[in-house]
Amino acid sequence: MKATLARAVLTVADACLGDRRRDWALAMRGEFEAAIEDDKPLAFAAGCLASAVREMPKQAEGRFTLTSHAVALGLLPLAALLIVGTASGFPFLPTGHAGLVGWFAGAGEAQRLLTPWNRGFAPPLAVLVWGIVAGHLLMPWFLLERDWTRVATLARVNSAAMVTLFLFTGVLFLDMAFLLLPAAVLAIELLAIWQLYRWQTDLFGEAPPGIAAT
Amino acid sequence: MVGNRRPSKQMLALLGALSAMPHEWRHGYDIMKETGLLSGTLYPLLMRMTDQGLVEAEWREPAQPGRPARHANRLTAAGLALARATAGEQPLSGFKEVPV
Repeated sequence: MKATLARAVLTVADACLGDRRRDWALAMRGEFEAAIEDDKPLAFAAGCLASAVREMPKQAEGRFTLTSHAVALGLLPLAALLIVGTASGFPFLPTGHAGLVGWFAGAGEAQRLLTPWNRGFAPPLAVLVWGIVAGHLLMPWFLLERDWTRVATLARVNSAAMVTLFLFTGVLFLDMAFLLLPAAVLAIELLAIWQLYRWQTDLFGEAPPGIAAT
Repeated sequence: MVGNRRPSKQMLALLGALSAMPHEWRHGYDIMKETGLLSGTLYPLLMRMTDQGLVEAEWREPAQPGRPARHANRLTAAGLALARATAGEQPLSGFKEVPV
């Protein structure tokens, strides 16, 4: 049990060390058997993990990984903000709230976005909004996996959904101000992803994940 | 190359252990046991000293089949020179971080 846990800790250390310190990750793994024989695998693995984490900011790859995690974690509150906004009646759900502006202002007065004649559009609009939210929730996952193909696809899908939302809003003569939040979230997300992609291209060239660029 | 900063106690302990038998290749865990350094201290030191050209490392075939290859380390000429230059500063009975 202790050895299994220690092995898991060592795997995390291995991942933290990255491609440029691959030799040292293998060196730690090579000594791990000796630590097991000495009945101190967990202390050894914990030390290796501490070394690996301390090493990360010193290496460009480590800095990239830390930044990727920071961006991914930063995207989650934005997605959460959209979820809360949507659940509060933003922007098209006919829940009778005062919408996002009213929600921020603490207004309890009902200000329906949808009128009786366009209420039939609520389900597709709600699906669109929840689709965008789902896209924002998936993005950090793909980002951390450095699966840029999926990241790009998701960015295109999110952008297309956003444009569709704009068009629907315009066609239904709804208040465009309610689109400011999802548009801002999308813009921040796309900008952060683009910067990360450029950084990773500089770092690794076209080398696939797991193989250091020369 | 190594800077002008005074080597830390941990580095002195490592230099002392590796310079005792300068031509012998030493495994990381054996160094830990001899110096009392923890893996969290030893590996960053070894990485840094290898980057500075003070330590060299090579892979050794495992003693038993099915085991992973092991990294072996020893001082380079520059490392040995530094070890001799700092020999007076070394702890008498080796640096003991915690018993291993």
